[in-house]
Amino acid sequence: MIKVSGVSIHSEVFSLGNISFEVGDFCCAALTGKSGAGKTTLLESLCGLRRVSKGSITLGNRDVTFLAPRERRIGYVPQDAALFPASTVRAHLEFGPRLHGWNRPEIDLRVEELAALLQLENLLERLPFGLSGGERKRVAIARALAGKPEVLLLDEPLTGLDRDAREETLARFTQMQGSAPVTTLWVTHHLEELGEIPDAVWELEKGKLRLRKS
Amino acid sequence: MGLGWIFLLLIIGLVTANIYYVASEVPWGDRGLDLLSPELVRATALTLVTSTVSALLSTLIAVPTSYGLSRFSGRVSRLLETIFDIPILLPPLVVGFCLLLLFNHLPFAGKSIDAWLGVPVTYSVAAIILAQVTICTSLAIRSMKASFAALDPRAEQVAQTLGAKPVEAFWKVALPSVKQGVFGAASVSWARAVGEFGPILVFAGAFRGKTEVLSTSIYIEMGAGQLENAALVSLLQMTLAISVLITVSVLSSAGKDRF
Repeated sequence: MIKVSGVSIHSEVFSLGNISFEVGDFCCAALTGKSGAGKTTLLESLCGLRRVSKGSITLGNRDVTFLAPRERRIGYVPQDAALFPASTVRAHLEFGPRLHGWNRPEIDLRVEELAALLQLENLLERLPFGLSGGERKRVAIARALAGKPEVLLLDEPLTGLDRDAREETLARFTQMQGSAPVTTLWVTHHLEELGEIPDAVWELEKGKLRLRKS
Repeated sequence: MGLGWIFLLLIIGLVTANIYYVASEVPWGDRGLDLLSPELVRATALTLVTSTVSALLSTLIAVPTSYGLSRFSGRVSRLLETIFDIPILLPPLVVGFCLLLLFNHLPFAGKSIDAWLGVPVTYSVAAIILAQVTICTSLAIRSMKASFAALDPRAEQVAQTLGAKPVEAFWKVALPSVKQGVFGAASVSWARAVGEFGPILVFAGAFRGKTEVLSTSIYIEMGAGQLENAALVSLLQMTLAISVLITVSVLSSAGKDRF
């Protein structure tokens, strides 16, 4: 579950005030709005990368408002994927599980599982340099999911992809949500791309949030 | 670009002049063995040891410092950057002179630093290293800061959302991503340390068999009118510097191919 209650965020350029919304367990909600509306700012606050000045954030039944990013049990996919330049795809997938103290067989099993689900089997020993846009996004999604987070936070994961790569990424996400659903907040300013995937759609406009679909 | 060609000719001229002088004026045979004199062997060994220690220390200091500078902006950060640049902007002799004053004339708990330490640093091997580190660390910080600044901090933020502490994000994500930069900074520091002269002459002295390094050897040999020996030492230093530059260049292109 994601529950945001009366959150206010002040950045250098704008403010978001009294934002409240909720995403149910294993549901996928879309957060839309024009460029510069504050979608990424709000998402970064959920990640713990930006402080909130008021309100509370609950992720998976835990109040995480004052917790560090590492304690929030989230999977975060930033807009630019932000892969680790010196790590292979396999190392990306092992990163979270290793930090959480999983043993070797558990890590190997998880890597195999995600590589199969997101079609990364042939890329496991590659470095990010030279991967296509779609491959980079799939690696970023797999990396975010590897540690079995309670919540998945996606920041425009389809931006910059060509049509085929967008469709491929969406198909993999749909397949993943069918087999092992994760509570997801998907930030996008091209809502039409998501089709029927979101269970709810929230729109951020002029610092206010309104429900467009539930 | 025309002036660039003239500068290129000047550099080639410098190297050629040294090689030509050694080839034409140094009497090879018995006197050529002067190159293997115990003093020169010791000066070469001391140069290599002190430069390596200094390059390692400079890199160790520069990596976390430059990382901090690249991740924090603001007045304090800018002020610190300016302060860290001071040793490379000052004339090298001034750096050596200030080190001399710091260790001998600045009272520390009623004594000079040298007296307080109990072991005199001035005119010792430690003074050579300290003089080299003072200059090389500034250089390494500049070099490393550019590497860290080019690295998107978002990757470290993602690492933290995956469960990494900030220090783990630095070790596991940021540092491996700039390893070419670390190697480059260490190499440049080493090359600079090998060639450092002014601060070493003033702070460590140029005592034959004690604090003599290759750069001060040239000074000693020239002072004694032994231009042939000075030319040989100069050529040796040139070879070391060019070898480092070629190694860094080759490894950097290998790194670019990889990332």
